[in-house]
Amino acid sequence: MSENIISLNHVSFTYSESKVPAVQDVSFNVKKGEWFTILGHNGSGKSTITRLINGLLWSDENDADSIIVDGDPLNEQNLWKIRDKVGIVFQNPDNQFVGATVADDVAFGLENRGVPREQMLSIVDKAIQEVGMSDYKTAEPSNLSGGQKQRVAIAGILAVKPKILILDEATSMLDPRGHDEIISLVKKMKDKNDLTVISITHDINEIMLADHVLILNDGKAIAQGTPKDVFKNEKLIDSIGLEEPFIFKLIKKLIKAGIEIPENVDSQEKLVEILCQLNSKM
Amino acid sequence: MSIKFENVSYIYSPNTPLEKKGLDQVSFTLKEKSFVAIVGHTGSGKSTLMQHFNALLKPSAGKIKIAGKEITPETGNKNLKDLRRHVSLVFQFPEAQLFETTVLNDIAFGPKNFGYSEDDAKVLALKWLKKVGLSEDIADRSPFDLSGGQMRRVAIAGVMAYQPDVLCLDEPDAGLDPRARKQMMDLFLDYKNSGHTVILVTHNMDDVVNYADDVLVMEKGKLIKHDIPANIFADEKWAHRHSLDEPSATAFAKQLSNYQFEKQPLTMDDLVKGILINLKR
Amino acid sequence: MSKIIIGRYIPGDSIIYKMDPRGKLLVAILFIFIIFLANNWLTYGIIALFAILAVAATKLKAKIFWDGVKPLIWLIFFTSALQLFFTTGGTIYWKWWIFTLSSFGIANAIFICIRFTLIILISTVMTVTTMPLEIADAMEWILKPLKLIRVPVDKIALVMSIALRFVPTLFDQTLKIMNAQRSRGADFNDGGLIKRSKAIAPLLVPLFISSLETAVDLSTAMEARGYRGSKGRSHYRVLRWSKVDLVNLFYLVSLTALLIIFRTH
Repeated sequence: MSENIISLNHVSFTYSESKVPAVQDVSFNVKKGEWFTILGHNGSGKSTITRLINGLLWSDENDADSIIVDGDPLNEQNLWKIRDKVGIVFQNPDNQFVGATVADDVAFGLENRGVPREQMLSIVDKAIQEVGMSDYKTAEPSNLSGGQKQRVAIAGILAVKPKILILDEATSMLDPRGHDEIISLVKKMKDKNDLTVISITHDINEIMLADHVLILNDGKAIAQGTPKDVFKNEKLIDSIGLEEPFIFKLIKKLIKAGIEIPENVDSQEKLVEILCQLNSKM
Repeated sequence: MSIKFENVSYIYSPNTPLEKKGLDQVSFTLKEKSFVAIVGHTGSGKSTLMQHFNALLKPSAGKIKIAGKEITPETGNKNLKDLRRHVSLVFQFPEAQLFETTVLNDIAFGPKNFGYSEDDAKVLALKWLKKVGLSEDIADRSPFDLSGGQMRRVAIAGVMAYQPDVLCLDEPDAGLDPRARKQMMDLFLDYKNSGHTVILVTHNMDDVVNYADDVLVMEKGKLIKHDIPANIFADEKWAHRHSLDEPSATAFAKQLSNYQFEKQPLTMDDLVKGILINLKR
Repeated sequence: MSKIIIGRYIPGDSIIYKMDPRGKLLVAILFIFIIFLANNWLTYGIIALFAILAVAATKLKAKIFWDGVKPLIWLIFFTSALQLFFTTGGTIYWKWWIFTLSSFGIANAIFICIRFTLIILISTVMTVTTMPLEIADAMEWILKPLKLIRVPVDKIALVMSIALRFVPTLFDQTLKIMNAQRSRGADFNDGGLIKRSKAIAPLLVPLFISSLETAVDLSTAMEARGYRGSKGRSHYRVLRWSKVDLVNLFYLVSLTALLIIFRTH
């Protein structure tokens, strides 16, 4: 479990039309099988990092150990090998739907890899079934909801069996129902297919799912750790324009009101438990 | 002068195989100068309803009274401009409407269309540029050089600059980070407090309880409930049956199995208060 | 706005729907050539009968086909009128300046009218029963020989299918931007030419920007999903000939044969 699947070592990136780096000296390790969340406000460099990991963008100084994915350094030779291992669900559901129908879109990645048609048929059917879209196999994207399109995007990624799934603000354009559907689908797929998930988001409550959180501000990594650790530094969080998750905010307000909440309470379940205990003692 | 819908129905693509009911016999009256939330699932008719407020869609049947005007199926396309000056719409991802060469020109586009002189329009534009929390320095920049969040503000300033009596917003905060969201919601609350009507289409129930004084719940083109926020979430079974999300505080309170809340907590402050009362008992 | 439906595909399930799009496209194209074999009342009658047969076989409402002809009706009348007044020969009924009304002219005008209408009918039969995507597939197949002269047929086909896929998206986006600008007091229907062309910038600029964004996003997504040109790609969707396509073949062969037999030499 403790093996690193992705390592970034002092990575910087500057867009050609800009003088200021979008990502500046960022280092982090993602452990195999974990849910890793990158948090930051609009324009903090989150999406740039996604694109650096699978070589859609190249970091300013790309050394042999700058970016390592599943044991391989990211370079020209390993590029396509690494892209096979990293699937990305992007933000805009419409702008990543390539195929004319659900089945065609799911097949796109397989077609690119030259998978013979006979194998493709069963892989596509299975992937569509896994994301619960079997009834829509021949549906056209214009007849699908945003959440359904994102499910198709996930199916298209699962079909090529990646090790890492990156959600690049994948739920930010969805309604709450679509959001919940996608998150629970990803949770299920993560367990089932042994995936490592990197979720890029500014949905504060989503970080409660994370094993590890990285906070970005103006392209710099300013905090790393468990959700609880990261949100300890109230001033820092506030200064970069993030809000705390509901539960952490509630705990603070309760403490302020004079209710004793033990230090180790870091989830909704634990808070509910402790509050119920407090009430029964009285 | 209230906003009044009388048996308003709307049918998409009538007399074709794609015929679909968008609104079905919707009737309600909204008080002026209130903050109204419209909630319901995707496809419930919220957006269709919203487009009726300034006659982008005209009812297939029924009658609408708004800003002293009347909209019926017979209403022609002429003279809608006057209505739209008083009732305006901000669509989802409104940054898609930016087109001018400078930020200031883009914000001034609406005011100029509605009869303000070039100079007056610029003055208004500058005022609202600042009101939405942007710096004067960007006034002469191209809107397309701005960040996503800034573009959103410019777009919203472009609608607020002619100060419509009724401002309708379709999820204006979608995709924004928490601080930007909060600032934006506070801006709309300010606008309401300065004597305008704000109508907000939203999925966020926390916003509903924190900002709205009146709620319309839509389902399959029908208005299924019209009440104050507290009453909307009071009937838990009803809310559940219509798969309406609950405010975070309400959902949390439900999990505290051995607590009794006299009044269902809607906001976090309600919740903390309720917990304290329980513990002191 | 809702009148514009590109592709005009109408779902249904008659025999024509089950035919291979390549066959349908080929027959529709060949029909345009074969129709020139007709040169007398009998052969025009035969070809009209065959076209009506094809229309009937779609099992769709006649109105759909009338809608196909309607926008072109003035063009048909105009061309017929040219034939009517400028053809000489046969009995001459009336003459004035450069205009002549002759028996040949009348016949020619009617023939042209029939010819046009039938071509439109047959093309409509194809477009309403075949999904745009299938038409694109069929076109790729027909264009395949061009690969020999290094025309990138695969890429063209991918571009075509993506373009078709984004038509509804673009359409929604247009409507959305129009509504947003209308809310800001823009007028798209009023005023003279200058006023109208000025009104188009608030629509076209955002549309162009958003299309550009879509294109950038889409190419990023395609690259992330392993697209690296058409080399070595396999294909999920394939077209297969089946027995119903024999009906198509039979239709074409018998029509050609009858026209050749009964045309005047």
